[in-house]
Amino acid sequence: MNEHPQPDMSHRDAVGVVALAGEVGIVQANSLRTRLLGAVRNEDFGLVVDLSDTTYIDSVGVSLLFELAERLAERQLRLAVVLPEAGLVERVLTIVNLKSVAAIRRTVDEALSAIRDG
Amino acid sequence: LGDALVDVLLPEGPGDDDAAVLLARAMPLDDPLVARFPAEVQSIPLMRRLLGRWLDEVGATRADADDLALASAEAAANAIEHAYGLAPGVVEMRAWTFRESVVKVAIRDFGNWRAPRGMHRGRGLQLMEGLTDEVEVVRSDEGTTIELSRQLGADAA
Repeated sequence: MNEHPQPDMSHRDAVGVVALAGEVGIVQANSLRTRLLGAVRNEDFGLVVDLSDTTYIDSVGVSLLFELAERLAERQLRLAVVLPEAGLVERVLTIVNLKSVAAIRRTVDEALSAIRDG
Repeated sequence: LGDALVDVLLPEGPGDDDAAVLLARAMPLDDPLVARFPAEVQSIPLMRRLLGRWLDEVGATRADADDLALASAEAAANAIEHAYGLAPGVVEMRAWTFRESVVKVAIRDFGNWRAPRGMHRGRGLQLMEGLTDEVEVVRSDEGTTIELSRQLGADAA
């Protein structure tokens, strides 16, 4: 069990890609927040948050994604989220309507396309 | 015996996660399941895992268990953040089977009622309602209880 996932960050053609494995909840939110917000670069087109290996997300984790979307929007940047088709994380992000602030895609490549073609 | 041991073990602090998991595997948990935790954020993963184990034992599907454990964690987070202010407190989790394949989970605090507030807690209530069939908030002089109900084996609420 990964209580404090270290976000795995990279850049692909001026788009940041951050993978969050394990749990994204009230216990982890503070340390994740700093790193996620720090991943935003002005020169980028946007950010992809990859939740393919995320096992749990609660309301604090959800708020973190909404805050991230807001920060990106302030700089005219886009957010895309990679989400597996079924499971708890998908149900949670449907309930809170994450798609109102982010493009939801099934793979990182599709998410990168969504940001570039937006 | 399960209840008594859990009560003794878990208030010792967040370091006892492994001990609690081993206990849950070694013997069936009671129905109702009753456990008390320190009102602190570190208790939330312990509560989720204990409830998840119990839900497995009463025949919950993976989706039932995941959804109820998350909804219960949101109820507990609300109690921990708002019931006690800075004073130390206790959160009680009670889970029981009800009629034909309905599970109820009650999260109770013994502090001062405060309505869920702020963006996190607004979304917390939204998640509790979205992931269960019924959310009931009962306030009394002794504290607040959030009671969650879910029919097992149905599709997500």
